[in-house]
Amino acid sequence: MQYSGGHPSDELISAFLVGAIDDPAIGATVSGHLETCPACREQVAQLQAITKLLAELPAPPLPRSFTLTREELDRLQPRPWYLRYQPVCRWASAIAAALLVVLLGLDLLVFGPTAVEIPGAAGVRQATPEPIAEAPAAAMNAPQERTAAAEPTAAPALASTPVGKEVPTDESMSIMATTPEADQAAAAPNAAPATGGASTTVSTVLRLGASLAGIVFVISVGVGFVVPRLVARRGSHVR
Amino acid sequence: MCAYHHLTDEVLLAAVRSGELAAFNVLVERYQRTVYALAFRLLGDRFLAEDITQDTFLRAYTALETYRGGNFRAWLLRIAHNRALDTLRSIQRRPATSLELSEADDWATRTGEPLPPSPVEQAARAELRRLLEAALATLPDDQRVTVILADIEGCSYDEIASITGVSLGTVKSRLSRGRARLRAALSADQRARELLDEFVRQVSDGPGERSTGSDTTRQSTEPTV
Repeated sequence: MQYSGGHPSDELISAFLVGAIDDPAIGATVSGHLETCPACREQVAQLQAITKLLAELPAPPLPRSFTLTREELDRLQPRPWYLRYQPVCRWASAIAAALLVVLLGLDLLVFGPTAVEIPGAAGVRQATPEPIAEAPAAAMNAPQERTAAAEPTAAPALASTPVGKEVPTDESMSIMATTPEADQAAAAPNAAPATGGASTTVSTVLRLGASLAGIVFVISVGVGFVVPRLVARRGSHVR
Repeated sequence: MCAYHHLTDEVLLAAVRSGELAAFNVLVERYQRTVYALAFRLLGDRFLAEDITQDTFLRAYTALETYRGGNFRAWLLRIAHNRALDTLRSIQRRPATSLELSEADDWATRTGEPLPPSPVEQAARAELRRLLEAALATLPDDQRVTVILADIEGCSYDEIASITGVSLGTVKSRLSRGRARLRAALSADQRARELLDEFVRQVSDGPGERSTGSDTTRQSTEPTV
């Protein structure tokens, strides 16, 4: 936007008409020049004529009407999968949450405080060899304890080592826990007795159920609440 | 459906939200010419323009929950503008000028002139429009969109800023550069220059038809619905 040969450039004149000149000094200069220069006034007249002509340009004829039909909407824009499953997921998340609380609460109430008694009961059963067979069976339920089954040499060792009475309380915990210690504990000689407790099995089932409910809760909250919200937010800057 | 036609955009949108597809179709009828014209002038192809127009209304309908009030026309044109630019980028070609010209002929004969001064003047005006439409097709995309929205569709600068996603200053600068370029293009062509000079004479002779100051008033004018 400069002057050329004493006259403001095309762009400068156009900018003046649009009101796009920020510097009032330049605006005044252009304005003053237009007062005295017929050639530049002609340019102004042409620019204004073009603006007028543009406003008169007829719209291109519509090839058809673009009104939408219900069928078209269903066919072209099927409801997104997350909207289709949204009601189910919202119910599922509520139920899963309730289940999670109930199962964990039950487990804590029934087995949490009384966990000390379990080793005693388990200790009695330790004398018999059956627990060895049960150990791998229990391990199937808890994948973390695969190592116990995977090491056959460790399993026979359980029976032969007479450590019986000093079964520590944390043995019962190790079966239920999903921590890395479970591996070690399961492989340890004293793992077998604890798995034999019926109450421990119930506790395992409870915690397994709680984990499942937790997984269902996370997925259903994701599909039912998080995904639609994320999509809606992304859609607000529509491309 | 006819009962809807006098209602404002906002009232219609409220009806759409409660499941009235017919209310949305009133909005479609209200804006389809503008949307289609923008797409057509940006792409220079009637089939692509048709696709974009259809897509724009489908998107608008399905994404209505993301419309948070304000200017519905600007929101709609923003969708159309973005879709058209995406398509432009993907096909990477300039609008077909030949098609533009033949279309312009069509429009001129179909729509005609409100009380034309004379058949000769009418023909000259139609030819000038055709040349202008062709010159418009040669503008860079950003200037073209701005000129179309401001001068053809009569959008306010604020609307254009929100449609194209740039600042008010950028809108003004694009508009002034686009118009200057149009003038330069018409001046460079012997025939176009003659016709333009003739038109300027008619306009200045006309009874108080000088459009001086229209630019400054437009900025504050609310879009007519």
